[in-house]
Amino acid sequence: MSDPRIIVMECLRYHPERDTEPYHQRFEVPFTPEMSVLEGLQYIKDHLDGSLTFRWSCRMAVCGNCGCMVNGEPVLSCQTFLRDYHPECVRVEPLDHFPIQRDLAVDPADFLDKLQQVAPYLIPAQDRIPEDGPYRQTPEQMQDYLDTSACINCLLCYAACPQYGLKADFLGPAVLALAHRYNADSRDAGRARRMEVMNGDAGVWGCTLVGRCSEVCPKGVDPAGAINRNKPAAALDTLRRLLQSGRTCTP
Amino acid sequence: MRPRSPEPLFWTLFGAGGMLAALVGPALVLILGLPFPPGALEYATLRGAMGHPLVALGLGVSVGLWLFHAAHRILHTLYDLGVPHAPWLPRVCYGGATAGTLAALGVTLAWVLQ
Amino acid sequence: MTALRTHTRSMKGWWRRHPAYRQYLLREATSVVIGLYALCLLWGMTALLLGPGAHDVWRACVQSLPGRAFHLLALAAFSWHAWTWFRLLPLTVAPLRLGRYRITQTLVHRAALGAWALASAALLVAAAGGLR
Ligand code: SF4
Ligand code: FES
Repeated sequence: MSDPRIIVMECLRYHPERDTEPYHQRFEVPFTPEMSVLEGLQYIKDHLDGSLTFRWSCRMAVCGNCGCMVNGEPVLSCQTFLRDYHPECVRVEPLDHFPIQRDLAVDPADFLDKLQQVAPYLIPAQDRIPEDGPYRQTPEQMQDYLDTSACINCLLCYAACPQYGLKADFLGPAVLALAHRYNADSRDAGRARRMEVMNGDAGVWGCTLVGRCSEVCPKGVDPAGAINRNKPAAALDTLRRLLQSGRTCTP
Repeated sequence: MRPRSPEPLFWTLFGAGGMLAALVGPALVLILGLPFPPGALEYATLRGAMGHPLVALGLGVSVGLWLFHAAHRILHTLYDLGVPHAPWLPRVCYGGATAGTLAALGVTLAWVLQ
Repeated sequence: MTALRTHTRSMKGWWRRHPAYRQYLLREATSVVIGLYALCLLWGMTALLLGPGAHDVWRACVQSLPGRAFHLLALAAFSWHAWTWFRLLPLTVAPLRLGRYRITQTLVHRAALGAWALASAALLVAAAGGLR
């Protein structure tokens, strides 16, 4: 390609100490075919407006830091290319459903808090020490959770989930998918503990299967599947408790 | 322990109703709506069909489960559309479905006993 | 760390943000028609039980213009419901493994569509046979 073409990037701006409301600002960015939206933002920061705030780290779809809304779709800005939008303008906004901290940076505290609730780590049946040797697992057993273990906590699925936006309590796609990831692991014995949280209104029952989380996930995690595969199990779990104590089901 | 939710119960009824509606719904609407075959809505024909306890039972169960299916989805869609959560809302939805189901089971029983 | 003021966006009119959200609401809306159709069936069952007079009223309603329009709507609603239901069904089925062989989501979807075809055909055949 010859000289760089120009694309208009429209960024949401919000500086809490200065602005009462977010607004959009247009930037004209020269771009080459291999430039990502993230690189466009970096161009703005380096040459047009140093105060533009956004997060990134790896530039290669691994760290999960650079998620944002591009023309209404939650994407990783480092693997979304300006050439695919030219000559239209690209509108870059912070991820939906999260509070805006500053420009394109959102506050992920709610997600991190919820992630802890499901104990997203192996809980072995017996305590083990290094001398016990490695955990053993067949390739088939590994297949049971491998897809869900690819999550990079990029939060795109949260920006694609209206239920997360509507219900403050809802644990949301990635957290539930990660809970499922450890439940499905043959080395884990923490299912009962996670079930407490998963089998509540804030857990799998908060999901109405809109299904867009699985469409936007850049890692093929399929949170919608992970959540809904747990519904029959969670329903059975409730039924079992109901039969056992007869007093557990009070609205 | 956090309060348990009655949701799994309603979800199971919703799921059963949804499955039944998907499997037999379109064909049933075709039969009664066309009607197919042309004389399907005749009094004698329908009475003959309903005389079969399986037909009566199947219809009764369908009516009940579809009502629960609808109640569940309607309730959650109202929430989705921004209707505030109020205790009376699920009571109306699921209460209505329960009333309809009881009526359907009553009628079914009458048919089966005939 | 000082707590910074953040801006929370409103969820008002969220379905306007993406066509997938509107498709979702359309799918949920089929339940209204399915509920109404259940009531129509309940009425029909009761009328048939009461006798020819009550049944005639029900049949006249079903075969009136609004009744036919309702059935057309019901056919569309049930069909769209069935289509979306079977498409999402594989998500609720735990992945099964028969030895080394995995039952994939595609397979579950196809099996469900097959069951749908079979059930529909069985109903139609039974209805056709019922006249004989
Ligand atoms: S499930 Fe997918 S979209 Fe959601 S946080 Fe993990 S990688 Fe991102
Ligand atoms: S910068 Fe790491 S995922 Fe995009």
